[in-house]
Amino acid sequence: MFTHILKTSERFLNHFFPSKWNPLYNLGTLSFYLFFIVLATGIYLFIFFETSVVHAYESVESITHEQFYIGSLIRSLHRYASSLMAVTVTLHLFRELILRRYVGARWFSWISGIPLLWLLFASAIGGYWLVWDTKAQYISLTTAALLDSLPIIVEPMAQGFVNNAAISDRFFSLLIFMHVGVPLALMLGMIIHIKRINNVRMIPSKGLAIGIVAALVILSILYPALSLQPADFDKPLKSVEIDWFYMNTYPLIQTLGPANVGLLLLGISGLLTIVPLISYFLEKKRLEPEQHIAVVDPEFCNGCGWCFADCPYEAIYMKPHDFRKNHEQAVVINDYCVGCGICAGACPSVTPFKNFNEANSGIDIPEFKMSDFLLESKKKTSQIKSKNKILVVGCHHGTNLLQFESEDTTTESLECIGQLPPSYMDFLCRREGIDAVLLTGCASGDCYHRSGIEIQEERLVRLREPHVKYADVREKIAKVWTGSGGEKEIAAKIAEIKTQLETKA
Amino acid sequence: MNQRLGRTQIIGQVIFYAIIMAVLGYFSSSPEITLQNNNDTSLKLIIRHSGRIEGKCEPLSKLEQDKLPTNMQRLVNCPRQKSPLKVIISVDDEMIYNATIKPSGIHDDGVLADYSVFTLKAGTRHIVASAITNTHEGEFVDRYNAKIDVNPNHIVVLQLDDNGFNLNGNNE
Repeated sequence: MFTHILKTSERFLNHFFPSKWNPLYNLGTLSFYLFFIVLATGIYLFIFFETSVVHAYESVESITHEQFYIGSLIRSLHRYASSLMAVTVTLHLFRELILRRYVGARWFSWISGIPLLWLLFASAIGGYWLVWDTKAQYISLTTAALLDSLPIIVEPMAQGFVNNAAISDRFFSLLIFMHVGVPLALMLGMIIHIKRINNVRMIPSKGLAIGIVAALVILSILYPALSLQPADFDKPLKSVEIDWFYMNTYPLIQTLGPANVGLLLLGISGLLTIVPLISYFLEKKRLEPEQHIAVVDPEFCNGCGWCFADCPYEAIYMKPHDFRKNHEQAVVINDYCVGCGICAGACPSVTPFKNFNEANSGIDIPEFKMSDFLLESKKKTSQIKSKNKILVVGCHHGTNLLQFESEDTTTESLECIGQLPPSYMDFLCRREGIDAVLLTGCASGDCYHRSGIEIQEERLVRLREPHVKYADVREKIAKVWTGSGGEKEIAAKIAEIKTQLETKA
Repeated sequence: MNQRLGRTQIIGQVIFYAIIMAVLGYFSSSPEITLQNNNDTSLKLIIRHSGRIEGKCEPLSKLEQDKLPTNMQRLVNCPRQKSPLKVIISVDDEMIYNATIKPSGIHDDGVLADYSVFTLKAGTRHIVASAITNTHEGEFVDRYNAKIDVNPNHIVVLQLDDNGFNLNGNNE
């Protein structure tokens, strides 16, 4: 159900955004981008902020009202970018959960992301705290109550906010240290979070980047962020405006009690952390095949490094060849490999033109060898008796292709479209009589294995090695990137291909 | 690669960003939450008491002294444990706080601390508080008994420390 809702939402947005601009395909990238905006605007605000009980509020008011030409804009950008980051991070978490992008070696990215939620929350709360208005007063009292519920706390922190006399400038030194230190820790955590993936995009495509900034700037101008009344701990707070993106659990602290809310939050974090473990045990019970790992065959590995360059998960590195002097050899880090097969698609050794019966790859997935794939494809194309022969190749994460099999069309499915070696397309078109190849799979910008579509597209236009060698073969290749549920688009594309073939004939 | 957008795409994106702006703008400060009625204020109870040693010092025999390391020689052995503190507070004859506060620390020798917040209605309120500690020297009692005028715009702070109870704020 959730996958259906997600895919429907993505397809809906694809009507208005080019695939690569679709915000739902760029949630992680947008989170990084928004963090940079918050960081840059935060540096500006830090220059003018005064860390004292008396002057903190005044300095923020000065930035907002006396520097109205830019101060208010910067302050509002800082606030709204961080609020939007809360949205993108939350959606990113749910999307990765729904699409099960935590299985196998991807557990690292998942688990390293959970602490970032806490760091993001602490960063934002620290920022609101610095303003020292009634919202900050509410944050002081409620956060202290939450922390006081921890069994390790001896003297309640809330005592420090009992009245105005209890608060000193030293507290502000602590606050600013936290609001600089915690975001730095968040940045470090974000770097670790993307450590095991390659070609990470931290800035979205131009159109999306401009759109987001424009929206934030317009919002900042139309509805600037303003401080509430100055904090006064001698007076009770009757009501307060809160930021519901970060402080949504704070009203719960009053109704359920800080200990219960603390347990709830820790429980949710704990549960999220062990999602890969739960999935592992559930999958074992369902007897699903174990994850495939790429294996290097040194005899056929010439150390070109193309698999190393293409691997989206940094699971391959190069070392001196075992027996070929002055050559390198690929090595697979088993713990990082998810078995996408993009490396097999990158290997030049697998070309069937050398010796069809021994299409040996320097790197391959043993449970799904490229030589077996070629044999299967050859067999299926030889069974097509019609004049025109069309081969549709897709991936396991896109639309199910079996429905498109017909008298003139055969289909194949791989773990990732990047697994298809360009030499296979050359061979099947030139030697086996294929008249058209249609490549399909995930939606553009949303490859399950991050960069399979991009890599394959670059191979088609000779921007990446290996590439489709023959110009006449390149003309026979079409592509439609739909993701799952793309039956209509694929059917339309096949019909278009058939029409073109008929016209040509 | 430059993307050329159709009219539908441009309008769709404008609407999308407008929705984003509306959601951000609204939920960054609304809805407001109500914390307290206008006629109420808060009574903050702060307890921070050093505590009293529960047991008495006992002289050590010669044999016991000989067993001690050179750097730990002493004539008497004084226990570290402190007595718990029983605190009862009532407002207008209604008990709002009744707790036994244990000393902190692994050896029960640390400070006795607690913090609580209660809602107080405006007007004249009769506050009665007592703190009782039992040690080998007997019972120690601190009491507080006063009628105060509660102003809904000022917080009332009742502190208990080594000097007893102290109520401040809210006499205006």
